[in-house]
Amino acid sequence: MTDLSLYRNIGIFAHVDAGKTTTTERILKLTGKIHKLGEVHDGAATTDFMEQEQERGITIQSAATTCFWNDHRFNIIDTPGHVDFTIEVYRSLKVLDGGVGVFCGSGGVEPQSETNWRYANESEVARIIYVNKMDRMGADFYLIRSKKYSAPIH
Amino acid sequence: MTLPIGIEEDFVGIIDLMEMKAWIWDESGDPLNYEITDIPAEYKEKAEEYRETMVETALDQDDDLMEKYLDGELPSIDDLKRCIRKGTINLDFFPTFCGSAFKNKGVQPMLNGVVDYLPSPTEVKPQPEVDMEGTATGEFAIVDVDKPFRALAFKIMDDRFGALTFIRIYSGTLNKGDTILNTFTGKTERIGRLVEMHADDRIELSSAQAGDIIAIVGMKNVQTGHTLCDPKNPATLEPMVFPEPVISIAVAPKDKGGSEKMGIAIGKMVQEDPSFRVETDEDSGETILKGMGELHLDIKVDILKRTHGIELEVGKPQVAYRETITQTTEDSYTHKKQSGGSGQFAKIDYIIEPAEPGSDYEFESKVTGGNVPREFWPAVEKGFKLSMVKGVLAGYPLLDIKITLLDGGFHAVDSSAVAFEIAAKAAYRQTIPKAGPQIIEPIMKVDVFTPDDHVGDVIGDLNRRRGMIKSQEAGITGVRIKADCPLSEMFGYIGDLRTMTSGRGQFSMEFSHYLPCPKNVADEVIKEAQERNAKK
Repeated sequence: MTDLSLYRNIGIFAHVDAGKTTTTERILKLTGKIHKLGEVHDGAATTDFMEQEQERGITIQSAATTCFWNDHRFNIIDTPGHVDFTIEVYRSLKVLDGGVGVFCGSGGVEPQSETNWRYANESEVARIIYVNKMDRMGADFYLIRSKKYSAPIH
Repeated sequence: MTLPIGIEEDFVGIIDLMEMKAWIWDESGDPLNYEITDIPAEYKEKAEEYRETMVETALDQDDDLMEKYLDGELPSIDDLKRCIRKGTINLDFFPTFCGSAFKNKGVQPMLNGVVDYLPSPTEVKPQPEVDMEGTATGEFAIVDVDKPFRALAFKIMDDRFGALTFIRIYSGTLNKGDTILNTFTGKTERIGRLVEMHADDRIELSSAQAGDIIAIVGMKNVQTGHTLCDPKNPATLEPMVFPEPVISIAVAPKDKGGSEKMGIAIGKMVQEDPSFRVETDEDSGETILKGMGELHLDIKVDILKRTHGIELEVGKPQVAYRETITQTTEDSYTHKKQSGGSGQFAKIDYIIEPAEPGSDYEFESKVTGGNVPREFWPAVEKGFKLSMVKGVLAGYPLLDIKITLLDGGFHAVDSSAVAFEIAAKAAYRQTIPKAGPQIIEPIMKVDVFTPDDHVGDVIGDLNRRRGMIKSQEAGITGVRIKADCPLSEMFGYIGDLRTMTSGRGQFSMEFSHYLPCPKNVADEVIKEAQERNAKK
C-alpha cells in the first residue's frame, strides 16, 4: 500500500504549441521513465503515439503515464490543446487532483488557452503554472505572469 | 516562485524565490548539468521585490503568521510552503514557474512545485455520489483505501492488445479476479487483468488502490462515465456531461464490403470518444458522423481510411441547424375516433411559447378540476417531446419551447395515455406552423491571432463571414481578435486565414449558442432540405 500523501494525480494542460508534450517528455526523462528524449517535431514524443498525432505534431488523445519524483508517485495525463478535443481535457479534469498549466512565454499567441483554463477553473482543479519557451524570441515572463495572475479566479 | 535569468537566446537559468538561490544550466542541453549559485548581483533587487510579493500573498492564508510578519518576523520556508500549498489547493492563486522545456531548463523546480503545492488525493473535495436519476445523495466517495471500492471509468481505448478501460479509483482496492458492479448497466463483471499505463506501453499489476489511475483490460459493456463499484456496497459517482456535436459529415464506403468494416470501426470510435457521434439518416441510409469541429472529423475520417483501411466517399461538412418558434400561441386539439369498437378520445387546450435560449424544452400542466386526469399528463408531454426531433420547416430538431397544458377533456371509457399522446403529436403539427417557426444556427466563439500588418484584412474577412467582432487585444507579436461567427461561414477558415496572414495566423473556435439565421440563409437551408427530401 502506498501512502496517499505521496500521490500526485496531475494533468498537463495548455494551448496548442505551448510545449506541453515537450514538457511531459522532460518530466519523463528527469524521473527516469525514459532514457532517450523524443521530440514532438520529429514525431517521436512518447505520449503522442497515434499515427495521426505523430504526423501532425499535435496531441489528439490524452495519454496516461506514471513516474516518481522525490519519492512521490506522479500519475500524469497529457491532454490535447486544441478545442476540438476538449472532451479529452474535460474527462481528464474529472479524475485529476491537480494540474500543471503550460503557457508559451513568447508573446500573446494563445487562442485556445482560455478554454482549457476555464474548464479547469470550473472543475476546481488546483494548478501550478509553467511559463515555457523562455528561450524564444519575444519571451516575456512578466507579461504572461501578470495576465495569469490578474484573471485566474472567476 | 521562479524568475528567469536572461531572456530569449541568453536565457540561462532561474531564480528560486523560496530559497533565494539561482539555478544556472550550462549549454550542454543536459537537464542535470546545473549549478546552484547566489543570485547574480543585477537580479538581486528584482528578486527581493518579487519575494516580498510572494511572501505577502502566501501569508494571506495565515493570520497569525501575517501578524508576526508585520511585526518584522520573517516566516520560515516550511511555513511559507504550507501557506502556498493551502492557497493553491483553495484555487486562491497559481504558483508560477518558468523555463524552457525544449532546452531542458527550469523543469526540476516545477516538479518540486508539484510535490510542494499540488494536492494529494485526500486533500481535494471528494466526488459526490448520486442516485440513478443523477440527483446528489449527499454521500461522497472519500478517498480511502479501507472504504468499499469505487471507481470512475473515464476513458475507453482500443489498442493492439484489446479494449482498455481507464479508471480512477476513489476508494478501496481492486485485485485481479475481483468482481465489480457497473451501476449504469446493473451488471457485474470479473476483472481479468490490471495494467499501469505508460503511454502505449503497460505494466501488469496484481492490484490497485484508492488514488490510482490505471486501466482494466478486456472489459465489456462499459462506457466513459460509468461507475464501477463493490457489488456489496453499490454507489454511483457523479457522471460526466458531454458537449453536443455541432458539425457533421456524411460518409459512405466506396465498395459494399467496406460497409460492415466501417460499422465496426465507427462503433469502437464512438465508444472511445463521447464527443463523437454517429447517426444513420433513416430516409437516405447515409451514415452521418458528428463531432466538435472540422479537425476532429478530419482525424476521424483519417483513422477510418488508414488505420482501418476503409475506402470512403466523404461529403461536405454540414451545420447542425435547429428550429425554434417566435410567437406565443394558444390552441386546442381534439383527437376523436369513436366509430364503433373501442374508441379513442383526448382533448387538450394548451399554450406553446418561446422559452429561454438553451432551455431546450419545458412542460407544465396547469389543469385543475380533472378535465385532463393527472395520469395522462406524462403522455401529453411525451407526445410533444417526441415530435420535437423534427421541426416543421426543414426537419431539424426544435429547441427552446415551453408548453403549458391548460385544460382539455376526457372520456371515461375511450380516453387513454395513447390517445393523449396522439393528440399531442397532432397538436404539434397543427400549432408549430402558426407559432412563427424559425431556423436557428450555431454561433461559434472565434478567437483569432494575426500579426499586426494583417489585422485589417482579417477583420474585413470576419465581417464578410457575418462575424460580430467582440474585442481586439494587441500583444507583442500581433493582435488577438475575438468574434462571434456562424459556423456555416467558418468552414475551411484555417486555410483562408493562413493565406491572408502569410501562414502566421492562428485561430480556434468553440460552440457558443444558437441564433436565428438571416432570411436568405434560412431560405437556402429550407430549400436544401426540400431538395434532399425530393430525392428520396
